[in-house]
Amino acid sequence: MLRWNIIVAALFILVILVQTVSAHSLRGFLDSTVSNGRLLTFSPSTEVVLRSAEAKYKTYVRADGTSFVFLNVTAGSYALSVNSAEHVFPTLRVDVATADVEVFLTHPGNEWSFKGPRQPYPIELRPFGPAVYYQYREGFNVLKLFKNPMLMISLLTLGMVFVLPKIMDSMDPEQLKEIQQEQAKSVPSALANPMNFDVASYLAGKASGPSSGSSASHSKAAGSARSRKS
Amino acid sequence: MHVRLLSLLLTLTFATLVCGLFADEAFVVDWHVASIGSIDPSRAILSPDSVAVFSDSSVLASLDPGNGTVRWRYFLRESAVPRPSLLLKLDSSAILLAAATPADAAITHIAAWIEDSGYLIWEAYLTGGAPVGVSVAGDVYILQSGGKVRRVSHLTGSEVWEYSLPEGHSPVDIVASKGKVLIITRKQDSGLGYFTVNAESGEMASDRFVVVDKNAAAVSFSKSEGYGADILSWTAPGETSTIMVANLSDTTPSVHTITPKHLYASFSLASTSTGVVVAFTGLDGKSWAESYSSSRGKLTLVGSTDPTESASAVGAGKLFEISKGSISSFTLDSVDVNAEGTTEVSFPSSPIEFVTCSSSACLVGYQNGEYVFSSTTGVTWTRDESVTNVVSAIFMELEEEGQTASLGEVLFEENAAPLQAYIHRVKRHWNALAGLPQYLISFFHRFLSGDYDAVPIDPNSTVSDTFGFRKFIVLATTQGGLRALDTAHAGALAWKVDDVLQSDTIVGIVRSDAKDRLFVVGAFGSVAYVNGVTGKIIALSKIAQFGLGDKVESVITFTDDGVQYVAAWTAHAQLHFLSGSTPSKPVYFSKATESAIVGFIYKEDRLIHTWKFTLPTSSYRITSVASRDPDDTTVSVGRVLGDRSVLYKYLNPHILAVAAVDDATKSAALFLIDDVTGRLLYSSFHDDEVVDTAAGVKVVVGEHWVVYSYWSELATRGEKLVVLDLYESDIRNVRWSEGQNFSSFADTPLPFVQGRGYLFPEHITSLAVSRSRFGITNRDIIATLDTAQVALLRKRLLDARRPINREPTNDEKEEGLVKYDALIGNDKRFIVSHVYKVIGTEKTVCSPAHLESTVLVFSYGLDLFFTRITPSQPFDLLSKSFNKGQLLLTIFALLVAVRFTGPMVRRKQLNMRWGTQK
Repeated sequence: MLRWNIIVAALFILVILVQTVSAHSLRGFLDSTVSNGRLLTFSPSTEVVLRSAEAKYKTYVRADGTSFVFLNVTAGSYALSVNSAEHVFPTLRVDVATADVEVFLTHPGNEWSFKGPRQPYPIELRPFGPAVYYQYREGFNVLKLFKNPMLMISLLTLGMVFVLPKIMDSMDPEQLKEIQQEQAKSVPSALANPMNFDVASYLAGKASGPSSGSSASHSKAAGSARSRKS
Repeated sequence: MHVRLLSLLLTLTFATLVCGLFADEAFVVDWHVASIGSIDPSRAILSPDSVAVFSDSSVLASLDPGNGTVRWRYFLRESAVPRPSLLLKLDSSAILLAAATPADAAITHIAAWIEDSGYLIWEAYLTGGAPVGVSVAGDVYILQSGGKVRRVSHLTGSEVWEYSLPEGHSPVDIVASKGKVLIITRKQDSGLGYFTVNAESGEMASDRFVVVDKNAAAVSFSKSEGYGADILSWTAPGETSTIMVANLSDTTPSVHTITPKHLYASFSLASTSTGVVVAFTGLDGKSWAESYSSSRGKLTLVGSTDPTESASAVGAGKLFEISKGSISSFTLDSVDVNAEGTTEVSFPSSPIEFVTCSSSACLVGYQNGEYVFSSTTGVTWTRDESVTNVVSAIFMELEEEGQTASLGEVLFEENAAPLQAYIHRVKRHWNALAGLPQYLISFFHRFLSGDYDAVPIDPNSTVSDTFGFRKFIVLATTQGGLRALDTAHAGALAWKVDDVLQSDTIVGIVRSDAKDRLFVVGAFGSVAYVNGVTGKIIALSKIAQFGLGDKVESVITFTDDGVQYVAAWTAHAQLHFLSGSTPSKPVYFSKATESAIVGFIYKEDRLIHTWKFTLPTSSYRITSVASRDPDDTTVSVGRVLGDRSVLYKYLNPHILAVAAVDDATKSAALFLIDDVTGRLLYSSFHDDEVVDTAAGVKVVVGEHWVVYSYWSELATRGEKLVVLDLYESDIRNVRWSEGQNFSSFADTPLPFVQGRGYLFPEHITSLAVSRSRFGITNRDIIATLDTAQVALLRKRLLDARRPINREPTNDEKEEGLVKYDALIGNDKRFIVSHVYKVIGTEKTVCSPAHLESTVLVFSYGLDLFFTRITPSQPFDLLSKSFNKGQLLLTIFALLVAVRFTGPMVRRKQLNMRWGTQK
């Protein structure tokens, strides 16, 4: 109701002044401006909770959409948090003493005796950002596909398939022979023959060395290499 | 801002272990029922554009009068109690709630709310007692039990004046009108009367206590609320044939006596434009109404209705009669009671608890917890609030549709002679061929439609879907009814039964040996045997030899040789078996009292008390007791570490976790006890932490671990989640049980316990642990929070082996361990209930789906919340992001590529053979 909004906004200060309840009252507001100048809105179900070991106070955002008032608060050291479905707010430490109210920024996990930076009073709460409850699935993206290192490697290899023969052709035949011989020597057997990879022993944590059976595969590999050459 | 940076860092650290809900699964896999609780007619305001209610569960809500949905609601457990409280209209757009505060009944909390948006306008706390009466005449006038009268500004809630009643008066009610405030009180020796106070100044207008009756008994007060006059009514002590009334709107009120046609049991009085109308309920239960007109200082009977079985109530200027099958309305004028019309309506068959009406519609409350909002044209909406008062909830398995082989057939084939079994099997397959065309059609339909999700199921059927996501949740309500909700159709009501135990209150429901059968046990020994799928009551009986004045306290189940026995445990320490037979072998169980755990053995039809575990000091009290779900299965007896060595789990199904708090020293303690022998296996104490003992300790027992939580103030404020992992030995590969089952009576070593504490920023109200079908999937901890949310914590995250102050080694990384960080849950993606406001949940139950990966989770309390979780990712389910079109397109593209490159390769090979390649 617009009428109520206006009345509440106008009389907000008055409430604070006229409140005659014996205990303390705390007031504050949720900062609705964000850095890019957009105005946030806080739903009426936005709860503001003031809590200590002894007491818990809960109030709601007033009809002006940002302010809140705690009434009848006894002296003590409280944690003030905002329970909102839409926004994430920092937690504040509020020390209510007979003389005045001190507000500090705090963080879960901090020792309670460790006070964070001092905050102004009336309490000002600026949301960190929107509450994110969800994960988002990654859709199909061609650009992302090409950013994948696996794809980049395979594309490179594919390119080499076409380019290498050309290079080989332009090479000196003796030099070529030398390279081929060197290659045949240097390729380790386990890599050269992935078919013989012992999955069971790998999972069992045993070092799957190129020991057993690899010599046979080595000669086999060499043989096949030779046959291809001829 | 370094705090923001820190949060961001934390978010990144746990990105792998926080598995938030996928945006496309929200509102699909989960549902939520927003409830308000039981409605009391004195705290319900009906108006043409809203229905405002302050329920017995301390929920202030505004309902849409058109469809009964909740427009807004607040759970005011911290600031307002339902009794005593008063709800009334502040003006055309705002409502006012005055209630005693839960912390101190001598303080009244008064708050004004905008009715359509739900914003709080103002609130105030007033000392001087609970609210007795509130009257709105521009400003708010409130009478409190401590004898205080206050005028409060209707714009700000600030006090204008205060007036104290003289000594010896007990307040009854208050009414403000035309610049004066009438305060009705009772004085010890003078009886019922009233004061008049000046509304402007707050001073007594006339120094006189006007006595209206010296010895009035039950007093009720009908305020005009803008319609008719303010009528005070009361009865003479012990009198059931007359009612005394006084019109306080008159300048000089005079007392009238109403003598109804018949003797009455109760009455309700409403003022009309010309006089009063009284709705009576007779001694025989029948009700009628009488209309009186006031003229020249006299009340004369102008008309009445005939006594009927229906309930009647008066709205503004109209009389309504609600029977089982119809709603009738009557207009009231100075001449007669005129029947306006009757509409045939099908109302619930449960007995009516109350009827309250506005000028056009009535809200009817039924004893089974249903509320019907009906106008003279028919039922506008129905709300079932019985689900807010749940005693116990249980998942019911549904049969899968079109199963080709029944269990019996498969068992026959496994056990019969090979030839017979073979013939049987061939026959079965031959018969199944008849369904092949149907299968092929549905297969291609599914293939083309691309819908690989749970197949839609007819909501009226009682079959399960392929994945077992559809089950019924049977709820036992405090009103003695059963409700079955369909998990696959947003909690739609599958069936309901009211008053199952014939006015006995339900203590518990348990599944019987037959999968679809339930035992419903009542406090006074009634037992109903119910079909959990259809809701049909198969048998209703009483426990034989049930002790006089005895009461069933809980229902216990025992499993002996695969046979399940259900027993009722009573207050007189009796054990009654419900299924007739008793277990042949001795069975062990324990019961918790306030400060001790007592062990029993049931052997040869005798109950023997065996052991007692008492808490260390008398100031401790037990807050919760937990044991492992008997249906939970273990697939791996050990935990494999990074170097392939094994820590063997301490798998004892008899572990009882007992959590206790000490209110005096503000400390908490946890004890692990063997349920059979009472042997203490482990204990931990949390002294010097300033524990919130009122919130207690919440505890769950998983496979070989225990997780408990409590709120404490030191060293840092927060909910402390402690995980204890139990192993047979701290030495790797060492196992004293040597793979054999060990007896609780044997002299076994104590478990090796490894523990870690974690910090959770929000208050946890209850814990539960998920259970998958075969126990292969990880387990998740489900926590209901004080912030009206449900959080999901990975057990992998709550690990007792996470390395502290160093990065995990390669072996530890392989084990899935991450560096220890005390703070968890500082990320909204832990919240599985996402944007739902799930208020007042107190308990969570889990049930596995047919898929190993998926667990169905249901939280209840005030609201109901259901979701499906996959603690180890949906590994056996095609992901939603799976794109069939894309896959087919890729295959097609490859085919085309092969078609084109094939000739090229062939040509090249041919050239090679011919040696023509360059």
